[in-house]
Amino acid sequence: MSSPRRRLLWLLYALPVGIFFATLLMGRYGGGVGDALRALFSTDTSDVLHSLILRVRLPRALAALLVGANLAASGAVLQGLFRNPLVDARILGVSSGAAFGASLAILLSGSALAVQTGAFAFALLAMACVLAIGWRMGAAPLVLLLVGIAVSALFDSLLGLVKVVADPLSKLPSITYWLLGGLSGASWSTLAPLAALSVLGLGFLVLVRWRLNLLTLGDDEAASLGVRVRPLRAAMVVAASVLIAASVSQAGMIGWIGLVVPHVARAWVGPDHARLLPASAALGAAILLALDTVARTALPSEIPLGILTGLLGVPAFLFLLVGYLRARGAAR
Amino acid sequence: MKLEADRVSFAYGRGSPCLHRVSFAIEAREIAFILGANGSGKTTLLGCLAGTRRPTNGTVVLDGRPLHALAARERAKRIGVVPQLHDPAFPFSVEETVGLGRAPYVGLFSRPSREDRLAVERALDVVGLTALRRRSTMRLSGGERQLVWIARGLAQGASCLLLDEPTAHLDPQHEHALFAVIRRLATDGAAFVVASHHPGSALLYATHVTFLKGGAVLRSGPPEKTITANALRETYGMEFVVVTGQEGERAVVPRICSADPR
Repeated sequence: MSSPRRRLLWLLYALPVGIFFATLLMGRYGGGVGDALRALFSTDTSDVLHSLILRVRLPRALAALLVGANLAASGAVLQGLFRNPLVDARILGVSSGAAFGASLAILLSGSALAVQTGAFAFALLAMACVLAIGWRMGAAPLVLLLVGIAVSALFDSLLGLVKVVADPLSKLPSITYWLLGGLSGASWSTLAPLAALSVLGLGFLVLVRWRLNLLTLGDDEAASLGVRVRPLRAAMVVAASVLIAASVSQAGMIGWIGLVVPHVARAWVGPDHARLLPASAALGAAILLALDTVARTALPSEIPLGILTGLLGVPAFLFLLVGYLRARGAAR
Repeated sequence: MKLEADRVSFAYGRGSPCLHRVSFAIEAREIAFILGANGSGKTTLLGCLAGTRRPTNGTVVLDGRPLHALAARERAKRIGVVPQLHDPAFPFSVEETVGLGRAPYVGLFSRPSREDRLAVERALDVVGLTALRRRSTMRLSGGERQLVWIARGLAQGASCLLLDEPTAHLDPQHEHALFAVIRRLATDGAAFVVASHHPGSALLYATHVTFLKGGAVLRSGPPEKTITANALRETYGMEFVVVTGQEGERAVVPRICSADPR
């Protein structure tokens, strides 16, 4: 790897760490950064700001890092697997499954644990449907993509059904708010399953990341290089889906991170997934943490995170698209 | 190295067979052309020879062992494939693309080692692409791209390379340059199977020619004896003339009658 790229990669790794320490000191409660810094290292356990940082900001910041890393890394993996730069978390029906599961849990119970569990369970159910049906039809990328669209549409319809029967004064606003995405519900107890699943999923994908390059070649070509295509692809789809499911069940619907961040990372560190996957994860973590800090500090009331990722993601995507088309024009 | 197909038949799914009892053999230092019209089964035969398609009947044998008895990785260390279409989804560099040829040597949870990188450097050097190593394959000419994929096969350690219509998008100069590399590698001991639409190229570069029609072998043998006006008419359903120049160079020319639409 050339040294400018290596330096850029280290810079990307440092970015979320820097934002992480900065965001712990920022918030609506308390005075300025100086007060927060004092409170962070305070030994007085009755200090409200100290307790706020450790019990609220810290788990929330960690959750933002994990969700950002998961969504961006799974986006990079899915774009590679499907040989399609326009693919993101929504393509496998996982997000739609999660949205339905969370809404159903809000309708029936409303507890945070039930919502997280419901979202996760239905996200995995959606993935299982896509894989089971797609596998029988040969598990080619296009097949999985089409089955994913169908399963997604099915869960979107079921979500519509839940919204219709939900109480418009109590349940429906909760569902709508959840769907807009946010990390206000993050706590140490919700962080634990997210962290465990993230370590598992990201760990596996980081280990096999170089082989993802082989799957971008297409099935026959990869097979001619000695790759057992179907099991490898299935394992990567499962790992990416677990990351998406764990993230959506914690943070609701957060769009655009999985689509745009891998493109930005690809422009910076190149298409080799050995670099692209960790770079995407680091950049996704940094961006989502920065946006979550804005979400909880910019206005007197919290701004849903999904709105912010959209506001940033759409112009970024269009900017990338123009750059891509220009580069193609130049190449010709 | 000897790769043999023995009475190989193949059908996609439950469809009718697109290869019918095809026998074919290639050894080290040979350049074997497979000629045939569109849909005659050339690409399918290459798939069977590569081991990525399993014959419905018959066997493919590599150095006395059935190809399907070999683990996929072992097979990939011996046989390389240069596909017809290079359609990379992402702009991998020349070096990264050739590096993918090291897949059979890299563990599931590993990345290419120093030894793998050296093998890539050697392969790039052999085909003369070292200067372009950092360029995106999307920004190469057609001829350079073919060389990248050949280098990938060399990095793979393959002693037999299967090329599917490698000169489809090349002008005569680049075609000749490509075959100059192929000839040099064959002299050094590699074997090449080339599926092609150009009987003229086979006359110039092949050591052995096989004509396929409707999935069956029409005839096969050395090019000077096999590529005849009769064989070409039977294969392509139109008239050709095989002409010999003043210095003994031979060429295939389609015979267009004045009554034919121009």
